[in-house]
Amino acid sequence: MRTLRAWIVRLCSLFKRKQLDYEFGEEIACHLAMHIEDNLRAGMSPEEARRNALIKFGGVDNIFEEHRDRRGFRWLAELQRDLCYAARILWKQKALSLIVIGILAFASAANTAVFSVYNFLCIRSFPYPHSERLVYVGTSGGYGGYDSESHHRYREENRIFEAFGSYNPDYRNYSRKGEARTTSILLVTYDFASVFQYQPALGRGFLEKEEGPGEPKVVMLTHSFWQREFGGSVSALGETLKT
Amino acid sequence: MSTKTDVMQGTLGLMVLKTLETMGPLHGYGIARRLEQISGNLLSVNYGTIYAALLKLEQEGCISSEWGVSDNNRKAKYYKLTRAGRKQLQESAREWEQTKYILERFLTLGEESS
Repeated sequence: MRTLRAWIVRLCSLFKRKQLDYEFGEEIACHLAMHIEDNLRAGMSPEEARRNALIKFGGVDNIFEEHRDRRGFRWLAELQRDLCYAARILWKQKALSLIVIGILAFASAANTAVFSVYNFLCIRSFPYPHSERLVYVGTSGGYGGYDSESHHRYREENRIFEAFGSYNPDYRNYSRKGEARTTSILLVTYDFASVFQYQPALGRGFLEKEEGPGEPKVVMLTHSFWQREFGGSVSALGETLKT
Repeated sequence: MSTKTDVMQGTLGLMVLKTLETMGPLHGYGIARRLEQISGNLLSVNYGTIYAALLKLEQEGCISSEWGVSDNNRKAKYYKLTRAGRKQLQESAREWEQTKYILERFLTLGEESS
């Protein structure tokens, strides 16, 4: 408690340094005057009385400096002085200061921009649950393509991943209301959705048997396609899409 | 005994507090003279060092200061004991008594066994 009090007093003293300096100067002067008076009364010569008082006091400058340090915080006082000095210099060299500040601002803006792009591409996680556990597995050149047969083999021998799905981006022409259009599609295995742990908003996901040959192909529409082609209607379920 | 003892760290504050308790409000010069007197000139204290101790005590709230007029009609800053200072004085005095007691026993025991 006493230490805390002392700290607060010391902090406050920062703001009245001049006054406190003046007061302590006065105090020392009074001290010396009283001592000299006593010395004179004891029969010393004025010269001797003064000399003796100063010697007994012990280096006035040192005591003053020590007092000043103990009164506030030396490092804080120095920091305050340095900051004032820096501000004064900056103000004096306005043009140079502006250029430097401009360069710094530009550099940090560029840095932020580069980082946001990098963050978007590399750091930010996908909007799926446990996206930190998603990995992309691919084959490197020389092993030929990756077909459904190899996918089955991988799936069978998979001991590492919780779920394992394959996809293949492609295009398809489709016709609706007598008009033919092209859209990008993703050919996926039935377990593709389970990797991402997502559920369709309407209807159901793919079934394993639908992967087999000769089975009717099933499509899952993206939200935007559903809105565009079916007007967001529930009747889209069970409709046939000719591709 | 002609060599003078340097004041141990921390004891100066206690001596100042005790001086103010017995003498009442006093200026720095008066306190310094009084310390010298009481110690029988055994202490070598630069009068100036009193002020560091006074400042510390004042920051801790043990003493308070006020400008006043001395007996010789001279302006001087007077220090006086606060209630917290009185308590601090009692505590420190007790601690010193204890330390003194322990050291005394220790030293006399050492004499007996040798």
